[in-house]
Amino acid sequence: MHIELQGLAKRYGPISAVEDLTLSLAPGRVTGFVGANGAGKSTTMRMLLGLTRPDAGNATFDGKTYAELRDPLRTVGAMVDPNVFHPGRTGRNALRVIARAAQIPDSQVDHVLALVGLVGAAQRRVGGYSMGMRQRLALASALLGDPGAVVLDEPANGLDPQGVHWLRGLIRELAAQGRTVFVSSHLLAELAQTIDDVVVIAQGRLIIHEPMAALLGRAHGGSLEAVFLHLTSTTPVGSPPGNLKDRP
Amino acid sequence: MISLISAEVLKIRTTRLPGVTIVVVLAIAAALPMLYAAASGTGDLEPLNSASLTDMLAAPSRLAGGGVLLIGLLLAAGEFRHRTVFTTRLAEPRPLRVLAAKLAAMTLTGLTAGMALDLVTAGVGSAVIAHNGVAVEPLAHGFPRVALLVPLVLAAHGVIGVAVGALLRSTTAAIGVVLMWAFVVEGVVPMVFRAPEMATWLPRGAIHDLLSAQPATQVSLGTAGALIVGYAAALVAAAALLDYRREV
Repeated sequence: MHIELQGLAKRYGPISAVEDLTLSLAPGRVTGFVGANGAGKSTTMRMLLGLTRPDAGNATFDGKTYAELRDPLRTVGAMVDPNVFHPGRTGRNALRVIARAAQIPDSQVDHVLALVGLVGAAQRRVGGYSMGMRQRLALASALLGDPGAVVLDEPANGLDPQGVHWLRGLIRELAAQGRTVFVSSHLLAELAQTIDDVVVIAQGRLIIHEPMAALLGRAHGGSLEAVFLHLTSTTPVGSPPGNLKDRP
Repeated sequence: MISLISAEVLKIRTTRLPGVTIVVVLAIAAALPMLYAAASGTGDLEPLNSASLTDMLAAPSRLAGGGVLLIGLLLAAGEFRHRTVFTTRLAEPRPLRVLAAKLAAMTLTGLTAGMALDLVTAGVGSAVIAHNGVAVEPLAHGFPRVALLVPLVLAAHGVIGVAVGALLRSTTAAIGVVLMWAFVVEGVVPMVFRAPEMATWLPRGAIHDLLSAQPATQVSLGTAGALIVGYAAALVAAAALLDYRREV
């Protein structure tokens, strides 16, 4: 499934959260979405998912906006926040509620609970879950519909090292199955091990969008973190990054 | 749409508060006929008679209405408190369909709670009246009318609860506004203006007229019913308009 963002823009009063953002994400690849706090990552993802209305432009999945999708959960799996579950509901019931709305059978709920390793905690109330468990539950909700595209906002937050390792494997597996994976993260070292392409934004504008290998190649052995810091500290918004080695 | 309504009903069933509220209301409804019988004939209260069954049926309806209203408020405003609105909107991006599903779910809940209230109150009330040697006349004294209207009135409470919750998007604010309306607007304003007849045109007065053993005094039953439907429709229209225009 192709994800396209075309001239996407959003302002909050005088502040431009996202400005003329155009991206094209291909199936079978993991695209990392990085930017400083307030760079516009979450706003972009929310516009992509129809949770926030863009002031200009549009975001589509195979040509359809999220609101136009016939079966949204079977098309796009999304994780926008781990704290999106009623604390008084059990983990299984939290997923059953979502599944019921999308006519997904309860057997799929049990399947994704097993996939994220929460079978043992399925009958416990979400209020008693650790941050990492809520993160896994949010991931399970994203995978409920066996979607062709997966959009994950900071999925590694709160996960322990084993959890991060597991998440890396899961994301790679999703892409290997031909799904389009769009993932934002602050954990750049971790992200670098997972993604095929990287998108960097600053002040709501696109700084760079290219394959990781090409980016690191031009950085002559630099890490994603070093490249990111370099780009976001020296690149005037909107200008091409050029050869990273030549920069001061 | 049926799957969305089913999901909303599942939300109600999978948290504790709605169930506890209904059980408490039914327990109080079961106790009230006994208290009524014990108090009848004392002070200003008439001795127990055949018409008492209708009064017993109507007596807990205000409390039950408050309970169903609370469930409706929590179903709508609780989505924002617990941020479950994100998963709800990802499953169904069209907000008006979500609102319609919540209204339908609370209509069903109100009707079910009302029928349960009818059964409990009529059953216990008939037993209490018969035990006191008074003839039980369930087809007289307005009993069939009140028995029919209690579920409808509770359904209206559920609809109003959802509408207020969707309008305010805050459980605290919604409960505060409802309490202020009940105690200040309905309780104090008619006294301040020295116009007690004003209360008849407010929701609580209209409900009182509908559920009285003796039919309405100030307005006809049809007018009282139309008033309640009108208040509910106005609130639903306002909620729908704002829900459509506002972002999550």
